Amino acid sequence: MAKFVLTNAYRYTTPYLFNFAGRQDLSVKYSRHTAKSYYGIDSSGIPGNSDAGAMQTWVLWNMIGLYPLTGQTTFLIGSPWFERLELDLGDGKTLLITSSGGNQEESIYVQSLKVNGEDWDRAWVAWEDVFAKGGKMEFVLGPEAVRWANGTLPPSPASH
Amino acid sequence: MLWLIGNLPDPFYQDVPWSYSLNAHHDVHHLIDLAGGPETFVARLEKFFEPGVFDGNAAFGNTIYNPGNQPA
Repeated sequence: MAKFVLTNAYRYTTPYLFNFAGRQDLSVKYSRHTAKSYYGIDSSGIPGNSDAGAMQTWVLWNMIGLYPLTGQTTFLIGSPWFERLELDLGDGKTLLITSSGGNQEESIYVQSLKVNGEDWDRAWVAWEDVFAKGGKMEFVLGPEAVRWANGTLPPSPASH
Repeated sequence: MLWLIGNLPDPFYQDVPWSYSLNAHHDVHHLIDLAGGPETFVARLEKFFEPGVFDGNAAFGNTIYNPGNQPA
């Protein structure tokens, strides 16, 4: 029985993979649990070596409510921590992320989402949707898991 | 053999096979097919996060999932 387990960064995306199977609510459940249980604000606030900022970046994306897929233009949708968050994208562009009805511990599940003012039924956005020219994402959050993302699944570029 | 993780002769080296088996981010659609469909895939993914199913990762409730980084 190993008491010491050396692992590494091969599972950062794993809590978000539920988005590919129509269960975005479970991505929120497990990624938020990871962030709230294993990250903190003191000098030991990240679970292990920072790896040049990888760990800090992981928890920042969790707070933003998105997660980027390596090498793709896809951002899997999680659940934002804040009522209002504005990302400065440069050149006067911003991504504004708002939420209502949420709190960071229990009321974490996406009830509905608008992207750039349109009702959104996909558990992902593309770079072109909200980053290329900026954009707006408006979340409604609640304590109960809801199957809000019944639209097109995230791309799997090696298959289609 | 899950307990071999972290030993350099271990072909998986830095993580458990279960973790690597979920790591085809370029083709999760195919991964879901190989798992037997979305429901099986979700069950398999949830097992990854279930406490008390692994002899390692005691700091994280003995999940197969290790949210940390080296040294974990």
